[in-house]
Amino acid sequence: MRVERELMRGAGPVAVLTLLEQREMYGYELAEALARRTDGVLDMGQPTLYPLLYNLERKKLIRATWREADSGRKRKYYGLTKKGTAWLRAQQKQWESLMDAMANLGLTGGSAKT
Amino acid sequence: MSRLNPHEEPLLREARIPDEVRGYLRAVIDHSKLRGTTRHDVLHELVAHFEDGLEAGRSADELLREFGDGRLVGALIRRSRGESLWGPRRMTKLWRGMALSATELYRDLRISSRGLRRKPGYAVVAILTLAIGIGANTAVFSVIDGVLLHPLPYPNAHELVLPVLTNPAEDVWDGPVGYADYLRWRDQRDVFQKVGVWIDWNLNVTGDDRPERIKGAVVSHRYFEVFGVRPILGRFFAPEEHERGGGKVAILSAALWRRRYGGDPNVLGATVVLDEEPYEIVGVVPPEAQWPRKAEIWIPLTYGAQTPDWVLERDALGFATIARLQPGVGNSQATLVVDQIARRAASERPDTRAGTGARVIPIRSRVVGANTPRTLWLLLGSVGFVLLIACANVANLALERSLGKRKEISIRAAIGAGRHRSVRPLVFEGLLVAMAGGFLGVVVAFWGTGILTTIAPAALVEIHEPRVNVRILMFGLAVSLGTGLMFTLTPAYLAAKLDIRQALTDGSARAGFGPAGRRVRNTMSVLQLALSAVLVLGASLTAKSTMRLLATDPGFQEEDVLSMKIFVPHYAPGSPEDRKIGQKYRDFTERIKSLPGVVSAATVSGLPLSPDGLFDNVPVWADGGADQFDAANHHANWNIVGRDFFSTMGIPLQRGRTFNETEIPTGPGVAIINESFARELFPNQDPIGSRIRSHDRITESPLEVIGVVGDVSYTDLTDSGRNVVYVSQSQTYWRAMAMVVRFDGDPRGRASEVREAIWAVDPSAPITEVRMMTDLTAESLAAPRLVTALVNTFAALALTLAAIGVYGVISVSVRQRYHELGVRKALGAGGGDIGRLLLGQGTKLAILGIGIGLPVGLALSRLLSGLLFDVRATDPVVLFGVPLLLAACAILAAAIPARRAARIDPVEALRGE
Repeated sequence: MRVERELMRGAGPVAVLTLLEQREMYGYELAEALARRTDGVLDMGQPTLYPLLYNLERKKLIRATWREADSGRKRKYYGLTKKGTAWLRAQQKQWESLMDAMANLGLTGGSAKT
Repeated sequence: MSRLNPHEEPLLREARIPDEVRGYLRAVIDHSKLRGTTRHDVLHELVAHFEDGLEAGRSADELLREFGDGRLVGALIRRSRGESLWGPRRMTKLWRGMALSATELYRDLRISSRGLRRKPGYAVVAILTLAIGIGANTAVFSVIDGVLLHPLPYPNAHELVLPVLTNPAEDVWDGPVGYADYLRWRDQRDVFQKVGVWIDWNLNVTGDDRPERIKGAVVSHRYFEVFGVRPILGRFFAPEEHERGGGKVAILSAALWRRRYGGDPNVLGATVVLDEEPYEIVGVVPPEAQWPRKAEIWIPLTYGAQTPDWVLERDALGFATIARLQPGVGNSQATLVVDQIARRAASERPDTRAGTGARVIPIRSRVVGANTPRTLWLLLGSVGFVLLIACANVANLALERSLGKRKEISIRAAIGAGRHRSVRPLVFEGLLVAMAGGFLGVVVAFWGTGILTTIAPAALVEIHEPRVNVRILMFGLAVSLGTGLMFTLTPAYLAAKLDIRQALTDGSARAGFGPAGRRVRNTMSVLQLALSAVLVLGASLTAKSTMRLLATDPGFQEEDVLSMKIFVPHYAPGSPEDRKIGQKYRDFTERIKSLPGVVSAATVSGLPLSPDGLFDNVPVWADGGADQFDAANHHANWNIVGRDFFSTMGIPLQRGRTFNETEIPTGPGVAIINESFARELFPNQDPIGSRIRSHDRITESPLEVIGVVGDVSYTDLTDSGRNVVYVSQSQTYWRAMAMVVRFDGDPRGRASEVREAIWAVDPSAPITEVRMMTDLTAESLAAPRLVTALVNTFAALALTLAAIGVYGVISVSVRQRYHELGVRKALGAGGGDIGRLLLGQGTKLAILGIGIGLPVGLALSRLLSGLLFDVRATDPVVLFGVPLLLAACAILAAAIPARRAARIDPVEALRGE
C-alpha cells in the first residue's frame, strides 16, 4: 500500500532522517531501505527521494560527502547534521503523540505501544 | 537542445549503464537546468544510483520505471536544489521586481495625486495647515539656531568663562571683581590657561570734525592672549606699556579701523585723541578677540608689574575678569576654585567682604542673556504644540477621507490586492500632502524669519543675524516628513485592520472604521484639546504678565520729555577744568531752558529705563548713634541729578523738599531717597532730617535726608523698587550725564535745537542716544510684547485647530450614527434630544482634554516663572478662565454638527440604509 501524497509529505523527511540517524547511506541504499523496511509503505520512489534529499541538504538537516565504496566507485553518502538530529527529535515526539492519540481513538486497532 | 558540459559526456560514457539510461539521464539533467558543479554533482549521483541498481541485479527497465518521467524528475530536482541568492536568474527576477514596483509606485502616485485633485478641499486645508505649522516652527527654529546654537566668534568659546563675585546673602550673583581677585585667580594654572582683567571705559574720540563716543576697555597685560588670536595689524600691548606712566597706546577694533580709518594699513603709529589726550595706535584686533562686546578701543592698564598698594588695599571692585579654562575643566570645577579663593579673601577682610564668594559664568550666557534662551525655547515649545495639533487635525482629515474610500479599499483587498497595496495610495496621498505642506512651510519660514528678525527687539535677538540655512531646511524637511508619516500611518493602520467581509456586506460608506477608528479619533481630539489647554494657559499667563507690565507705572511721566547722553571731555582728576565739569552741565541746562517751548531741563547720571548710569549697589546706613557699618543690611544706588530733575521727569515728591539753590559744593551734604528705601532704612519713622552714610567716594561725610520721592523703574519696567539715593549735582559731579528736557508739547523734531544749545557751550561734547522718554518705555516693553503676541497667536491658532478637530469628530459621528439617529427620531426623540446627545459627546471630549491639559500646563508653567512679571502660575483668573474658554470653544464646535443632526429627517435617514 502506498501512502497518500499529503501524508507522505510529512512522513517522508522523518523517515529519511530516521534511517540516516542509524548510519550514513547513499541514494540507492536509502531508496531500497525505505521500500524494504516499511514494506513498501514509505517507498517514495526516486523521483521524490532525490529532490527530498537535496531539499534536506539545503535546509542543513543532512550533509553529503563523496566517498569511494568497496567496489571502487564513488558514492554520495548522506548523514545527519546536528541541526538534523535536533529536528528529528522534535518530529519524533510529535509523531509519537500523534500515534498515541490515534490509538486512543481506536484507529490503530489497539496496536499502540506504551 | 541538450548541451551537456564537457565533463558530463565522459562521465556518462564511462558509466556502466545501458544507453537508454544514458539518454534518460541526459534528459533529466537537461530539464533540471542546473549549472556548474551542482549539475555535475547531481548527474554523478544519479549515475551512481543506476549503477548501484544494476549491480544489485535490477533491470534497467525496472529502475527507469521507478524514476518515471524524466522531465518531471528534472523539474523536481531543479526546484529542490533551489538557486543561490545571487544567482543570475535570481538577480533578473529582482530587477524585474524592482522595475515592476517602480511602475506600481508611479501608478499609485498618480492615483493619489488624481484623488487629491478630484477633492481639492482636503488637500488645500491639509497643506495650508501643515505649511503654517511647519513654517512657524522653522522660523522660530531659525532664530533659535542663530541666537542659541550658532557658535560665538571666539575660538573655543566653550572654554571662555567670566569669573565674578557673588554674595548669596545679598542676592548678588554677577558682581564686579577686585584687581586683587584677578591676581589671586591668575595663578590657578590647574583650572585656567589664561586670565585677563579689564575695566569698561568709554571714551570720547576727537581730533577730527566728528566727535564720537565709543565703548572701550582698559585691559591687563596679555589680555588678548585669553582669546588665542593674533592682531590683524601691528601688535598687542608690550610689558613696558603697562608700567605706570607707560606709553599712551591704543588698539582698535577691526570695525573702528575700517570706519574711521578706511582700513588703512598705515594707521599704525598714527595718533588718536581719546578724552583729549593723544594715543598712538599700535594694533588692530580681529572680531575673534573683541571683548567686552562691542568694545572698539583698548588701552593698557598701567599698574605695571608692581600693583600699586592702593589698588590692593582698597580691594576696590569695578573690574571684570575673563578666563580660558584648561581643557577638560568644567565650569563647576572652576567655580569651586574661584569660590574657595574668594571665601578665603573674605575671611581675611570681614569688614568689606563678608559673605563674598565667586563663580564662573560661561561667556555664552553673558552674551545671549539669561532670559533669552528661555524665551526662545518657550516660543519653540508653543509653536511645536501648534504643529502637533495641526498634525492631529490633518490625521483626522486623512482618516475621514479614508473612511470615504473604505469601500474602494475593501474591494481592492477582496480582489486580492493585498493590504499593503490597497492602503498604499492613501499613504502616498498623505506623503504628497506633507511634502507640499513642507515646501510651502519653508517659504513661510523664510518669510517668518524675516519678520521675526525685523520686529524682534535687540534684547531678544542680538548676536547673529538669524538666517534660514541648510540646517534649518533639514529641520523643516524632517518635520514635514515626520508629520506626514504620523498622520498617514494612523489611518493606514486602521484601514489595514478593515474587516473586508463586513465592509462589503455592510456596504454603507457611512460606516466608520469601527470602535478602533472612533477611539483614535476621540483620543486625537482629546490630545488636541489638552495641548491647546497647555498653550492657552501659557499664553494667558504671558498676556497677563505683559498687561501688568503695560499697566506698570514707571514712576515718572514720560510724555513730552526728550533725553540724551552727553560726555564732556575727560580732565585730570582734581584739575581746575575737572572741577568745572559741574558748572558746565549747569550751563548746558540753563542754555536749554532758555529755548522756546522748554518747560524745564535737568541733568541726571542714571537715566530711568536705561541700563547704565546707576552706580552699583553700595552699602548705605543710617547715621545713628553708633557709627556702625553693617554691610549686609542696606544697599542703594547713587544717582546724581540736577536741581529740576524731579519736576522735569514728573517724579512725585512725597515728603520734605527737592533740591534748590541752597545746595552749594561747600555746604552740608544733602540727599533725597526713594520711597522704598525710606521704608527700608527708616521703618515707621520720618526720614526727613536723618543722616545717612556710605563709604563710597561720592560722599565721605554724612548726608542729610531732605526729601522722599516716588519709586522709579531703572533698568526696565520690572525693576521698580530699587533703592536710590539722589544727590545734588551742585554738590558732586560726574562726567557722563544724561540730559532730560520737558517741552510744552511734542518734543519730536526739537532735538537739533537742544544739540545746538549744548554745542554753543562746548563744541567738543559728544551727544548720543537722543530719545523720547516714551520711546524708552515702549522699548522696555518691546520684548515682552513680542513674546506675548507670538505666544498668543500660537495659542489662538492651536485653539482654532482644536475646535476644528472637535467639529470634525462630532460631524463624523453624526455621519456614522445617521441611521441610528434617524431611528431615534422615528421613535419620538426630539431635535433637542439629538442635539444634546451630540453636545454631550463634545463636552466629554472637552472635559477630558482640559482635565489632562490643565495639570500639564500648570506643571510646565513653572518653567515660565522667570519670564512672568507679577503673575503667579496659579492666578485664579487664568485658572478659571482657561477651562471656560476651552470648554466654550469645544462645545461651540460641537454645536454646529449637533444642530445639523437635530434636523435629520427620519424618513430619509431610514430609507438611506
